[in-house]
Amino acid sequence: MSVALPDWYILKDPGDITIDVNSWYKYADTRLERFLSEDLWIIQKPTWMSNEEWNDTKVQEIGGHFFLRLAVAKDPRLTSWLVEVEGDLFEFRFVSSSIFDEKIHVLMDLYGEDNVKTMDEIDAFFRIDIYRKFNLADVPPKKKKYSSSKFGGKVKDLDKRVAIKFFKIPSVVSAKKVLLYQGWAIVRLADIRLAVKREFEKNLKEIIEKSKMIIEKDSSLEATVKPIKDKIDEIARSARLSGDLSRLGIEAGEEIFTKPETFPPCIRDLISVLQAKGHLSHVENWQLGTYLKRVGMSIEEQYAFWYRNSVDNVGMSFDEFVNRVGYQIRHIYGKAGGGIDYSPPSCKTCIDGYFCYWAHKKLEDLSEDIRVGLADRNAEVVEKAIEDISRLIINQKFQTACARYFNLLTGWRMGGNRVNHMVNYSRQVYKRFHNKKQKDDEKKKEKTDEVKQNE
Amino acid sequence: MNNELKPEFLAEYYEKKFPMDYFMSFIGLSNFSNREFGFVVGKDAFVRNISFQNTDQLREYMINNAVKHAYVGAIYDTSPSRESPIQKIEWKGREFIFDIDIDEYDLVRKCGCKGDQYCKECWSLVQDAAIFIDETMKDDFGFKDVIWIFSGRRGVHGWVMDKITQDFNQAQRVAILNYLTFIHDEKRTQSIEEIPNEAKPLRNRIYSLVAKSFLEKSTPEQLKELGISLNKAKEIIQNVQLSKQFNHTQYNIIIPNDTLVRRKLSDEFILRRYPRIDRKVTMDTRRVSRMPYSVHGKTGQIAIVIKDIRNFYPDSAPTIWESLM
Repeated sequence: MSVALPDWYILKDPGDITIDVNSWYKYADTRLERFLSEDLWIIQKPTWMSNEEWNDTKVQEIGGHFFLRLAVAKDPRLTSWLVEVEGDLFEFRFVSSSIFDEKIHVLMDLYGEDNVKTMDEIDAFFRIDIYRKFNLADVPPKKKKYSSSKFGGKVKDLDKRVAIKFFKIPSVVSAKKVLLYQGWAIVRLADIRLAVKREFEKNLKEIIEKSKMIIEKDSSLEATVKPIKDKIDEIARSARLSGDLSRLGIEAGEEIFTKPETFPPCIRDLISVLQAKGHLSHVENWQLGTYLKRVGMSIEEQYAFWYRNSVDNVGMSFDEFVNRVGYQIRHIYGKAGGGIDYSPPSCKTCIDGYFCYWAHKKLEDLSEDIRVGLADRNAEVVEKAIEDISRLIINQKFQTACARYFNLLTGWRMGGNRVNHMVNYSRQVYKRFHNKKQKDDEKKKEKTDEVKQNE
Repeated sequence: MNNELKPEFLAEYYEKKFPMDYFMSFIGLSNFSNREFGFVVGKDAFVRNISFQNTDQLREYMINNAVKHAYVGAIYDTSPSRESPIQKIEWKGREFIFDIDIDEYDLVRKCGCKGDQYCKECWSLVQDAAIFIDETMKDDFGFKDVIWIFSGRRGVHGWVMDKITQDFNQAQRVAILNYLTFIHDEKRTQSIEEIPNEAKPLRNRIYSLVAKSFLEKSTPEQLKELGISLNKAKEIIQNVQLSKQFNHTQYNIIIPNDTLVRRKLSDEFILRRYPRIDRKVTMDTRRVSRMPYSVHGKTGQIAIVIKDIRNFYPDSAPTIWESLM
């Protein structure tokens, strides 16, 4: 069976297409503008459009996207940015496409034709009625979180089920959001939406990686894509830089990095591992370094911090250390490498590829850490919190687990009941302690004034 | 019978009795020279990163070193050796294996056994676990061939022989494990995950196998503590004991339709009788596992294939001494 992929699916083989770099530049620019305005769009031929005009639209779509691939191919950071925005657009199109077959064909392309079946096909294959055999009528759809404003309410067929070979969607199998039958995972589209998006992003990343060769072979092409590359660079940079210390609610002169009580559990754990072992993995160095920068540590202070704690300094003077090992620190501050002032990764990114205390630490160990760390608290309260946190971790709700821990630690609730960024965690703790201190100071002042008046 | 595990016995076993052909049917001949082996030799030294060009070499090594424990690991792109240790070479594949040990149940064993000890009562936990996993592997995951091996001391290993599993990466292995896992932090908090609605076959299996095993061994007083009246508890136990093929439909009929009671009951039977799998063995793609048909260096028992887990008890497994008689 040949797979008829929809035109909005940008991993589709474009077939014979004439490459016209000059007009593609324009299309790429338009596509960037649309990404910037967060205007998610779907391409489908309107009834009034002529075939010729429709073909032009398709070329604009493909050309714009291909040009962007070439522009980011040599820079992993820009590649990540493009993969992220294209991933969001893909998700929107997948979710809002009103043609169910299109979704099936996209799944077949992503997971392999032999690994995807419709419910009718699976019933015919096994000669049973799975819906009736397992009484699926009594599994009501969950609360439709996915029909939020993110998709402008344009959500189609997400309650419909499909069959996918279980090993293609391990995250969904892990969460037990499947009916497994003879190696086939019978799932609602709503429950694989994110897994499908990740698969799309993985494939796109691989394709962009391959585009690198095209750019490397052709220096004139590299020059042609440069203006667009610079533009993406600026966009990606500004997206990462959104938020300086004042936005964090931290007052000038307040050095939050000197207040370890405000550190999120991931940072506290990374620091204790660094102090115990003398080294961290590359991504962990990056996570800790960018965090410390964002909470106000200067580059000189970071040199001193890493010199004090890492084993790389054995037999090395501080100056030697700064010269030889300080490169990564300078990189973080934009003083080496590409000159980019990097921001710390979000919780989602930490869960996926950096270090999240709740996602990556063993449940047994973190329960013990919490017990030891809060030995002076009411044991019953701590055990209840550990139980809550364990359940959240089991259900892969790591950001909510972090918020529950925040609640246990401070007695306050985290807004939105989830932690989205480690710096935001610190901000929240800081804000509460700072406000509390301010109120305490005010009360003290009032009391003193009262006493003075009485005198 | 001399129960001392002398090196000459081990050498003789590997020379004359070790069924190399049967062993090879587990791992296959292809890529044999790139397969890692590990052994405990001499005064309990554990050596890894060993590979052989052919099975004769493997046998020769086991004889010459009178190996106390023999393990087989993953396949790599080149032959593992001291110069090319497994950390430095590319992983190519490994069998998909479950390990169930009786000591994993120490917190819930009521018979008084601890650690390596076992009795007929607590061994039934291992048997139930193997039956549950076997059925899940075949019915839910569609695997055709699962073979159970006695570990030689206190548990069993389930080898999923379907070739496709060899290529599973860690995420895919962990996914299967997570699908099977309901008890988290097994050695401390033992948090119980709620039985999901969507995973119907798994849910039905828990209600038929795990619930049955728990209920038929329960007393009415135990069920009363979970909020079921004494009379109803007696009726439930009698029903389960009389039922030849207890299933989830019967479960739903006989258990009171009270959400709280049902949750308490399911938490209890999962805690007491649900499979407890040694996760590291299944998810670690570079781990070495005991070679089928090899000798356990502490007990002298042979890691034989279990034909019928329902009727297998460790004491019935042959020993090296019996084998050499």
